[in-house]
Amino acid sequence: MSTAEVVAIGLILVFALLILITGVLYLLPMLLRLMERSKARETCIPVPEFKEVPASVQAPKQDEQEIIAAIMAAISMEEEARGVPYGNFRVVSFKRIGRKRV
Amino acid sequence: MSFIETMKDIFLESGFYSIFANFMDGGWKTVVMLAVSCVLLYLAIVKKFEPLLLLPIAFGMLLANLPGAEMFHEEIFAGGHVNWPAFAGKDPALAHITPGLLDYLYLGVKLGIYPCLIFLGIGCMTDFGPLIANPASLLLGAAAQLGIFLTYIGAKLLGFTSMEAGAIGIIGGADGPTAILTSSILAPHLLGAIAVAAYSYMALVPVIQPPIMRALTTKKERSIRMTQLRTVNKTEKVVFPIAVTLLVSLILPSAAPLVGMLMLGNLMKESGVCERLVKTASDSLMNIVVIFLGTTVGATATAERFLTLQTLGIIVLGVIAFSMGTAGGVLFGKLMCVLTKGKVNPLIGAAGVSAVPMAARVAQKVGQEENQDNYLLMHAMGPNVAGVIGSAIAAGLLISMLG
Repeated sequence: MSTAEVVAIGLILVFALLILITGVLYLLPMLLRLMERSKARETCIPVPEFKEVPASVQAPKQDEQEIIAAIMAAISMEEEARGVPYGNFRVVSFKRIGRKRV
Repeated sequence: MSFIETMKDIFLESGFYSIFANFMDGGWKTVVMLAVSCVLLYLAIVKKFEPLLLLPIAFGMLLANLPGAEMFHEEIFAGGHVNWPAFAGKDPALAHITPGLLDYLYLGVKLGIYPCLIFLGIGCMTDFGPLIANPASLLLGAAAQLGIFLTYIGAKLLGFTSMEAGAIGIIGGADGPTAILTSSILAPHLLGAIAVAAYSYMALVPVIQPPIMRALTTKKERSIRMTQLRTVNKTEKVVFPIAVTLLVSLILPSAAPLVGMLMLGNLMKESGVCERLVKTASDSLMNIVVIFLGTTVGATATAERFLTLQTLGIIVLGVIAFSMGTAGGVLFGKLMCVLTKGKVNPLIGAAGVSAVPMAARVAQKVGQEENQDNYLLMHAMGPNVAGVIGSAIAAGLLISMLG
């Protein structure tokens, strides 16, 4: 084998092998991600479809408790004035009108 | 036997008598070799040039050149083969020889055991994370192997045989165990000189590389800051050694001993299930093998083999190999810098010559000379460990083509 052949074959093969490993290293994370995704798909439990609940029937948040208390107090006073027994009603929902929620 | 006769016999059997009685007939060479070993010991102890290897090498050289000590006999390994009958005392031609301690220990070099065990330890200590995070750095490791093949041409032009030229060229890989394994197969008679040259130049990486790096790059290129590497997960780190071993060994089986052991060590480390083995391979085993390897490689540097013009040629070619390897890496780094529109600092290409982690530290240091806030170390570790794989592949190729 001539000197030029040894040098040419040597350099080409060193580069070729390392380029091959480079390719594998670029593919590796992709393959791992694909495997993780398919594994997740196999193991996941079907979740019932989520139905959007109207804002008016959503559970009252902490700041809404005060509003509900104020509404109940106002209605109670009105009912009391009309002679309706106390506590004969409950606020199921309320809707804000003409003001953006903060 | 009288007292005087006994004293006379002791004197006649002494090394001093052997040196001075045959001073003009080769005795001076022994003195020179003992002086060379002392210089190497000085470099190892005082100048701290790769002391872990240079010290045993220098002392092995000293032991092998002590007249009358009979610790190493190159006749047993003449022609590049192990003369097994000589070990059993059954070779009539070598009946006068009693194998010495270093003869037995040298079998580990001759049979290619020590370099591979050292690679096992290196694998246990190497983090291929920076390489996996930036796979393109493998190309820098490939480019830095240019020195091996250009030196091969130089050695051929100087009159070395193809096998000798291949063994000398591998110095450019800047990887001691690889150089030792290759030369023990291709040119065992040059092993001592090649090992001394390889380890001496590896210690001189901070001196040899910076001028070449500065000469081939502009201030602007040296100041380039590289983006932070992504984090590599454990699965990638575990799959990497298996994939590399399969790929390299199936394509180039002659590289399997070095690459295989390197990757075995790395797999043991990354898998996290072999802590005891990792500890042993990277600590006790590694240290034991380094002692045996260094001492026996040094022992091959006997006066007859070392004090030749060939050794001078190897010393000169060795520095050329290192320089060419550095230049190849830096120039390829420049190419990558252009292709990525200035995202790669070409200095990290110089780390492709192996010499882990010294070459990466040099890239960091030269980079910080231009920009104090530039941290290239982790980026340079990619090409650095790629260089280890690259030089092992180049060694396998040379053994396959020339052996």
